[in-house]
Order: sequence, then structure tokens, then C-alpha cells
Amino acid sequence: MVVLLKHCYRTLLLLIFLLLFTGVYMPSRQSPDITVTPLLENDSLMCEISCPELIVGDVRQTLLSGLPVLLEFIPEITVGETATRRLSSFKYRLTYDIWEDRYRVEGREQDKYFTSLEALQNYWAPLKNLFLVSVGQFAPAEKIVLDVRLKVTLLTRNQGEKLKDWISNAHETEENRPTLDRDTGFKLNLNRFISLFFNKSDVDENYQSRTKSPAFTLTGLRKDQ
Amino acid sequence: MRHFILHFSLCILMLTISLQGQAQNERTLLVEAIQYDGNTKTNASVIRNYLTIQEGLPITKQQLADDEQRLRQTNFFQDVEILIMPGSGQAQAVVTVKVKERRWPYLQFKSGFNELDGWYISPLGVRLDNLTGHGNYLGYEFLLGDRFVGSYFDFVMPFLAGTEYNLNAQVLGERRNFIHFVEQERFGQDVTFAGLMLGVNGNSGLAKLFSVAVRAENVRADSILKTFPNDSLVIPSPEFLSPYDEDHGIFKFIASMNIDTRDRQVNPSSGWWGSLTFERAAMNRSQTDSIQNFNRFIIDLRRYQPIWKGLTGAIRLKYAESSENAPFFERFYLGGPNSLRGYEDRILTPDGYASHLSQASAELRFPLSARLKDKSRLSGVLFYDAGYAWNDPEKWTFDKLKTGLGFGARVRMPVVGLLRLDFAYPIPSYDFRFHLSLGHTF
Repeated sequence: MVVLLKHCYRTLLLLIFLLLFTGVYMPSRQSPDITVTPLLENDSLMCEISCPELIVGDVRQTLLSGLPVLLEFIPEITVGETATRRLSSFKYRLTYDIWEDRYRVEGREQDKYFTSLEALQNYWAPLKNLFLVSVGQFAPAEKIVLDVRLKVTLLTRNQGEKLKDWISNAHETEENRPTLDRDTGFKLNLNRFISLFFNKSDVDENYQSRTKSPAFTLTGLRKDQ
Repeated sequence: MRHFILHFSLCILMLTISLQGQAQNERTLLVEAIQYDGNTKTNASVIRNYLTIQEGLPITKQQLADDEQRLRQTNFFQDVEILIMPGSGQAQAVVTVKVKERRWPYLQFKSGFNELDGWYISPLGVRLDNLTGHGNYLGYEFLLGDRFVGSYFDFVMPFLAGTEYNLNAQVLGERRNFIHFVEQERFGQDVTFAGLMLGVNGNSGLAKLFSVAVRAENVRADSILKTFPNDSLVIPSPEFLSPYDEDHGIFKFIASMNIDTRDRQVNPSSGWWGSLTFERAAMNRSQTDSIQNFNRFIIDLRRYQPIWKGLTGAIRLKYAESSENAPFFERFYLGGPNSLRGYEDRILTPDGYASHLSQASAELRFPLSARLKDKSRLSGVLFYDAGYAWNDPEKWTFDKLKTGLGFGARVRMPVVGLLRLDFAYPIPSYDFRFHLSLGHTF
């Protein structure tokens, strides 16, 4: 009996260690790989961002469930020895409408529509003509590093949508009993109203990827083009 | 009268049979499978009762939205979401009904306007709906209003034994104030009711047309009348009311036939609403130790007709009749914001209330703003009401009709619903009267 307990004890310890290591070393989520290519166009520093495996896993599942996916590309540049400077980010909202059987990408420009996941996937491989900053402020030979962070947010039912839904949806009651007492009014579920403000169970999931370009100069970019 | 009732019943049946679904111009998807997620307490069969979607049948976007709304409105769950994902084939879909179970009773606040009792609130009601996961309703509420106070326990078992019938039960205790006009002075008389009601009604198909109920209650009217609303003068109840100032047991059987083809329950723009009710009651009169039997008929028919763009016409016709020996609290009244606008509440009612009532209303409803996306948020109304309440041996004649006309505004408020403001004028005196209440008049 004692030997059996000792054996179980060791097995249990082994399992605990395995779980701990797995928890530490296993990535919490497969973040999509991204690459960035800087370009020079007239007096503007532009870039192309490529995410060939964006619409996979949880992103795909969320989209197909009819829930939106938010993407935000956050570029930062480091020029020479100066501090890193954050630039305007590029935000996109992806949705799938099963009734129209098409995917929609809402961004800064006109909305784009795609009829298949493959076509939607190809849109991000690469994303072209992204304006970063005017180059007039930089010396031609200064070393520049471009860092792009991709933030992916998988939305659950938006809390604001729920509140709007709660306010605008029918709490009205109307009873037309065939006696004299017609009754019109409203009723409120107080628990539900309170939970809209205190319930933290509907948390949007998000995760991030990051990439850095090799250091480049404006002169070097002009030569390459 | 019998011929009229027969023809009315046939009309309701024909309307039901001739009902056709709205033309489906929306894209449809075929439901490959329906999955349920999160229902750790509630049987999937309970959820299915409130869904119109079925495996193997097509669905539309609106149908899905309606099903989610219907399920949400049961208040069985903390949250309801219906998600749809592409299925294995072209134009197929897998529907997932995701619910979050409610573990505890919930509190309910209620308020409104009752035609008979005026404004009321229920500051706190307790609902134990779906507590065991079987989809039953159970709750208690305390109501406090202009002219009544009441306490109610109610229980509803929908889809009784898997059928399309609901079982309803209610235990009630209430005190209501009935308005009488004695020598042009307005008085209120309290009447106490305590009893229980048991009923069955259909919730789908042809069964939805019918409902039956039995009600047993003890009723007692006060022996005094007080001026309303400030109780400044108290008088003994007049002779025609005094027979009811002792305890009376009333047993009632109620059968009704109802039809509702309106496009919306609240603020309809098209369709019919009709109801035919028959009540047979036996009242035990303790004073004389005798049984007094009486009957009641009520016929109410409404039509909503879209005319042009946002313009809607609405007409209501109502006739009600009771036995001459029915007690005053089982008879009918005329005058007031839901009855005949332009007149004070109940003022057109004969002494001891009326055994016959005829009433008609016509309204023209129109949006007041072209810019608002939801036109029902602000709308206007032109109306004309007519009616007459009488007792035997008087007879109805056209020239005895009381009439009123006016205009009004309807403002849709968040949560509260439709606020009604009516500016009414009785004919021919045209003494202006303002009415404020909730919801359309009919």
C-alpha cells in the first residue's frame, strides 16, 4: 500500500511538472506571422505588410460565426539613435455575412468585398500602399528601422450592442383581454439591467504579432526601386 | 344577436384559414443541423418550443432574428445568442443556440396604464421563471396604482405535455376603486376581490384562437362611497349599489375566441385583431342565500390598414352585453382615455354601470418626422370616437350616440414605450380635455 501510494505520488508529481512546463512553454495562441517591406514613393515612406496565414484558426472560426474581427497594424519607426516614434495605425474590421455569402473588409478606404476565404486571405498577402510618413524630415543616409505590430481582436457580442438591444427592444407589454381592462405598459428585468454594467464574462479575445524590418536608408530604398 | 355572433365567428375562422405567409424575397439557407450550447439546466426541448427554425427546412435572416428575440423575451436565460455558420454544402448552415443559464430568481419592475384602473406600478416583482429548467413561469408581483392595489401569484406551464396548449393559474387579492357619478359628483367605491383562476389557452396553430378559464373569487364592495380622488365627502352607497356590500362568492366560466394577424403587437400598421368572449357566472348572494346567475358577451374587432407610405388607418368596433342582474363590477362603462375621448372617465355610464355597451373609434395615424429612420418614434393621430352605454328597457338609437373627436401625438420613449398625448373635444360642446397614457388607444 505504501509502495503504491509512493508510485502514485511520483506519477502525480510528474504530471504536475509536465503541466507547468507546458503552460510556460506552449504558446497561448498561434499568432499569425507578418512581414513588412518598406518602400519609397516620391516623398513618402510607404510599406507593404504581408500576413499570408491571417484567416486561420480562431480568426476563421470567429468570422464564420458571424462575429467581427478587428485588425490593427501599428507601425513604429526608429530613425538613427532617436527614440522610437509611433505612426498612425491601420485599422480594419472583418465580417462575414452568411446571408450575402461574402466577406467584408472595412478600412480607411472604400469597403472591400470578397466571395471566398481564399480571396480574403490573398488580400493580406500583401497589403499594399500603406502610407507611413513624409521623408522630408529624414537625412538620406540615416538608418531607419520599421517595426509593425499586428493586434487581432476577436469580438464577442459587444457590450454596447447589448445595452442598445436592451434599451430599444420590446419591454413593452400590451394586453388586450377581451374584458374592459386593456393594459399597456412595460416591464424590466432588473437583474439583466444591472448585469450589463457589472458582468465581466464577455471579454473580447485579442492577441498580437510583431515584425521588424532590417535597417534601411532612404538612399538604399531609392537604389532598389 | 345569435346570428351576429355566428357570422362573427365564421369571419374569424375564415380570416385564420386564409392567412398566408408574407412573401419571402430574402435569401434562405437550409438548416443542416441545430446545436445547443450552454443549456446545463434547461432541456433542449424547452428551447426548441420557442424556435421556428427546424433541421432540413429553409430559414431567413429575419426568422433567425425573430427566434432569438422570442427566446430572449422568455427571460429564461441570462443571455441568448443564435449563431449561424456555413454548413457542409452550398447554401446550408449550422445553427448554434447559445444560452447562459439563469441560476437565481430575477427581480422585475413593471409599470403601465390600465383602462379600468389607471396608472400603476409594480415596484418589485419576483420571477422564478424556468427555475428547474422545464420552461415554466412562476412569479409574484405587488401592484400599486391610481385606483387599485393588488397582489398576484401566477404560474404558467407552456406547451403542456408537449402540446400547443398553455396552462395558466393565478391566485390574486386586489382592491379596486370603481367610479360612480351621484348627483353629478364623482365618487369612488372600493371593491375587494380574492380568488383564483385556472385556464388553458393555445399558443400556436388553430389552438391559438381559443382559450377557456374558470375563476372562483370572493367579492365584497364597500358600503360607503368617497369623493374621488381626495375622499373629502363620504356617503353611504346608494340603493342600487347596496346589495353588494357583503361577501359574495362568484364562480365564473370564461370562453373566448381570439384572432391576431397584426404585423406588430405594439404599434401595428396592418392586420386584424378580434375577440369574442362569453362568460357564464354564478354568484352566491349571502344576503338572500340564493344563487344569481348572469352572463356576459364581449365582441371587439379592430382593423389596421396601411393607406399610403406611413399613413395608417385604424378602426375599432366593440359591443358588450351582460345580464341585467349582473353586479356593477361585472358591467360596462363609457368615457375616458381608452373608451370615449373628450369625456371624463366613466361619466357616460348610467347609475350602477351599463348592461349594454356599443363603441366605435376611427384613427388616422401618420409619422410626424420624415427624417427619423424609425417613423414610429414620433407620430400623430386624428381620431373620432362614438359610443353609447345603456340598461334595459332603453334601446339603442343612432341619435343617442355620444361622440368626440380630436388629435394626438405618440412619442416612443426608450424602455417605457409609446407615450400617448390626446387632445380631445366632445361633440357638440367642444370642451377641451387632455388625456395622457401609454400605448395606442387600441
